Formats: sequence, structure tokens, C-alpha cells
Amino acid sequence: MSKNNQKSPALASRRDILIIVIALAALGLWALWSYVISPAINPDTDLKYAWIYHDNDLVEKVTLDGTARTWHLEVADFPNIEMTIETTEDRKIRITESNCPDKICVNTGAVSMDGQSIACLPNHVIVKIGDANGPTGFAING
Amino acid sequence: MKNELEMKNELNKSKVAPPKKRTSHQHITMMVLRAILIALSFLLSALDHSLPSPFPGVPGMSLGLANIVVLFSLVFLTPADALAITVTKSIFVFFMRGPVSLLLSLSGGLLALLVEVLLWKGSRKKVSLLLLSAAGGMSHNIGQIIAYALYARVSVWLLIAPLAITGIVTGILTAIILKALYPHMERWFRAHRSYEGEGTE
Repeated sequence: MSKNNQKSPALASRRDILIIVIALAALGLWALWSYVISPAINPDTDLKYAWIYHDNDLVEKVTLDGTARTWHLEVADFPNIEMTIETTEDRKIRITESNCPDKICVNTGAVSMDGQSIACLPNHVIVKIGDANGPTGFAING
Repeated sequence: MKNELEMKNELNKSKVAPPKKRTSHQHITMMVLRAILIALSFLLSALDHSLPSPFPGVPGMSLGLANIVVLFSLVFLTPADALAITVTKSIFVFFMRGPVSLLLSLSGGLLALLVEVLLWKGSRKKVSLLLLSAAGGMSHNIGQIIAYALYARVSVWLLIAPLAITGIVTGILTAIILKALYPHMERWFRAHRSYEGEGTE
């Protein structure tokens, strides 16, 4: 008997809905913890720095001290990279314009927390947040 | 034990296409179906990336519309068909958007497919479409974010939870679309009867 003669599978059983709801609740709590509760309990008031890399070469180190500034990123030997970067008064950094095709970096928005980053993979540019010594919390690949 | 209705049904089916062995016409029908599915996955993938991201602030997030085709192939055809569509879709993405997108597309697609095949086969096709699709959507995003972390050498811990949630939500949407398509496709397969034995265990 071929499988197309089988009864069509149910959209969802009660058990499966329960599994999905539990997974969503757990993930929601995790997100709530890392974005809202943890920063509220342990406010990280240290001065943050944005480390801007091109192909793992440091291009710029930007202090996120609340100075609002907008500038064009200059990468030596790569004049075809056209990106506009902005720091904001609430100590965040974001990419406002980029000539990459996917605009993922622009859509990422502003970042300011340890472990956050903005990547423009087509332009090989990555902005990582850290302290004065370097980007922090980059443990996933050792 | 067959009741009368089932016997009648079988008789009706046998009138449409009695032989067990597939004719070249049936081969061509299946080939055309696969070609349509691959073309559809290209189209949905391109459409997906032309839409504004529904989740600004989360890099690389899209609806994952092409996952409908992959899941469809898994449910109606075989895991091999689903794999073929995943890989050809990634190659299409490579030509459209470059090698990094290929890496992200392939890593997400293959992890999602692996999870879906394990659920589908492991439950002997008893798993609900909703769980199958939600698990696929979640693992697709997790596969992508891990590849992104390894490639860009950045930490992604903060992104895993929101991406997993959006993966589940888009997976639920995919399941609803697939469920709506189901009766139509079943009728189509029954009408063509070319599918007899294809990919069955």
C-alpha cells in the first residue's frame, strides 16, 4: 500500500501542541532572562567598546560613551565597502547604510550588550561589543 | 480483512491504472512533479528574501517559505527528494546571493531536514504536521545561527532563544499551509496512481 493512500496526518495532536507550548515557554523565559531580567538585576554600567573588524583585522575601536556620531567606514585597500555607522546617545552602535545585497547588518539594528554583534558577511565586516581589552563573550568557538 | 467498501475502492483504483510496474508516462509525471517542486522552492526562496524581514533586529531572519516544499516532499515523496530539493535550493541561493548565503542555507536546511526525517521516520509517520514543521523551523534557524557563529566568529548565545521562537512560529505557519494543501495533493496522487510503490518501505 502506498503512503498516499494513508489517512492524512493530523494537523496537531494534543500532546504535540503541549510540547510546542512548553518549548515556546522555555525559550520565551530564556529570552526574557537574557534581554530583560538579567540586565535589570545586574546592570552593566561599564563603558563598552565596539570593535570593528574586516576579515579579522581590527579596523576601528569605538568608545560607546553616549556621543552621537555618524561616519563612513574606511577599510584600507577595500574602497568598495560602503557603510555608514552611527553611535547613539544611549550608548549603542548600529550600521545605518551598507552597499551589501542582503542588508542584514542594517536590519540587525543597534547593539550595546556584551556578546552582541553586527555582521555584514558580504562585506566581511563585523562589529563586536566588548570592553577596553577586546570583544567579550565569544566562547562558542573557543 | 477487507470490507466491501474497501474492495470497491480498490476496484475503482485498478480501473484508473492497474499495473504495478510504472510506465514511462508515470516516470515522466513524477519527474515533472519534482521539477515543479524545485522551481517552486527557488521561487519561494527568492520571494522570502525580497520581503522585508518580519523580525528586524534578528540577523538573517526570514519566513522560510521554501520549507513548505521541502516538508511536502518529505511527506508525499521520499527523504531523498527532500534532500535533493534542499541542496538544489542552496545552490540556487549561492548563485543569487553568494557563498556565505550558501553556507547559511545549507547548514539550516540540512539540520532541519535531519530533524524532520528523524521525527517522521522515528514516529512511523505518526507525528503531527505541526510538531514536524515547528521542529524543522526551529532547527533550521539554529543550524543557521551556529554556522553564522562559526563563520563570523561571534557569540550567538543571545540570539538562540529569539531565533528558535521565530523558527517555531514560522514552522506553525508552514504546517497550516501544508495541511490546507493535503487533500488536494492526495486527490492528485490518487488520480495519477503513478506513485505506487515510490519511496515506500
